[in-house]
Amino acid sequence: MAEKKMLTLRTSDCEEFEVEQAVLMKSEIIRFMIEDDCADNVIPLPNVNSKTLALVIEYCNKHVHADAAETTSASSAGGGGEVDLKKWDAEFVKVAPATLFDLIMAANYLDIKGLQGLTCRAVVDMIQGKSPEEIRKTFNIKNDLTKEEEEAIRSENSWAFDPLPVRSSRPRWLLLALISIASLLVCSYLLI
Amino acid sequence: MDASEETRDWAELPRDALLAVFHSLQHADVLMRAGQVCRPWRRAAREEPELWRRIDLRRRAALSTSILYHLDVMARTAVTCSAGQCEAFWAEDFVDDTFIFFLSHRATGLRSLRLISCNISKQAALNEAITRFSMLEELELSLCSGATTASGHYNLADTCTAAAKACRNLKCLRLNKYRFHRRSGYDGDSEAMEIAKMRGLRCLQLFGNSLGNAGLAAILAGCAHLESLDIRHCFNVEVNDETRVMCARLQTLKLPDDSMDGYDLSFGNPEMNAGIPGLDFPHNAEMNFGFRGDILWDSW
Repeated sequence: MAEKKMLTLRTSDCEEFEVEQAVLMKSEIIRFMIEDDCADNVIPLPNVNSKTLALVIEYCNKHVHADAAETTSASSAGGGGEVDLKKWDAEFVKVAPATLFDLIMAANYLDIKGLQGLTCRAVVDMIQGKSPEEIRKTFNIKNDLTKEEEEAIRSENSWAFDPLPVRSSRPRWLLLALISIASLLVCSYLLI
Repeated sequence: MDASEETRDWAELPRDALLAVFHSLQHADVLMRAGQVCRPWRRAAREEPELWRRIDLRRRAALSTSILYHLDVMARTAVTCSAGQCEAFWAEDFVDDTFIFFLSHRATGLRSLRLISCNISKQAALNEAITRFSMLEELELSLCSGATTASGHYNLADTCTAAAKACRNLKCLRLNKYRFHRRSGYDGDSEAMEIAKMRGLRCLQLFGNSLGNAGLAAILAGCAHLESLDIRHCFNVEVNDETRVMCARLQTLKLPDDSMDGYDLSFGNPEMNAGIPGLDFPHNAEMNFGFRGDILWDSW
């Protein structure tokens, strides 16, 4: 069996990781480096720390091996492997917001399409249905909107602050008033 | 949480990553929630026309009632953010004459326009707008109400004329009524005759339309590239051997009596009594009395 080709990655905090070349092909940047013969013994990754790179390698490893397993069992029926991988992915991104941020940055920097999509979906799930204030709390974001911008938002999106618009409530009250006047007239007529 | 955990500045998330997130959110969430978190996120939501290339404000189940009331304002904001690059606009309920006018001046590059349950009181406004959407490839005007003809029928023949003249690239047309009406002394083929002039049409859906066999024959003769035809509940069409021969070249065909499976709009039972106009749209009476903002249709 042919020996697996290995590459060394050096993180921003100077830790080195020896990884299978096949696994690193998930990164478009590293793949281009390998294909153009630019990948030296050690590839420096100044924008990625060791904790994040360990997670990135774990993700790439899992997906490369899952792809290989899928290829070998392509003839056999059932998509159980795909379901398992989806479950694994869902668990993989259940991390602290700061770790998720680092993963997004690393996926962007290394251009790993699958990881970019996965981390973005995780952020979507954390945002969906939340108010701006709740989103700020979740991601520890400072509200840097100026008074003018806040005012612009308030006037643009007045619907968010007024549950019932004047436009639709006016005819309703008008109708109720007319009905009550009519009923009073009917009552007075009957009494006479 | 350690010190390093606190230093992540989510406001400085790379623009392409942020846009990928925004693309996966509903437009209402982008405008009203994520886009109001901080300045960089607001800028990303407002300054990236790519984000507003396809505006879909149909999925109302996911929107809160307060948002529902002002979809009009939200839609205008979204169209403005698209900076003329909007290619698809899909909406339900809130579109009226003034919005159509606005859209026709701000999104002339539209390729797909789908309006469902909209209230167009002046058909001339709609027709004029259609003439500005010269790049349209898909047009839907379903369950629309508003200006009716003397027979009480909401007729879109003039709109079809405008579309046939202006939209040379039109490939898909949907004109679905709420329910079928059989009327005496009414030319049910007027829309069909105009549709027949849309030479490039490939897909046509006319639920509950009043067209008859003559109208159907005109469409099949005029639209040589037609591949898919749905005329469910078009009970003026008499399905016979001749009809089947005419339709034989179509890849997909739904006939008047076919099952309603896969039809995702609300519809009423057909009105078979000749001469009784009935309603073309649920709650049409309420709409005429100005309650449009108050009612959440029973189909929802």
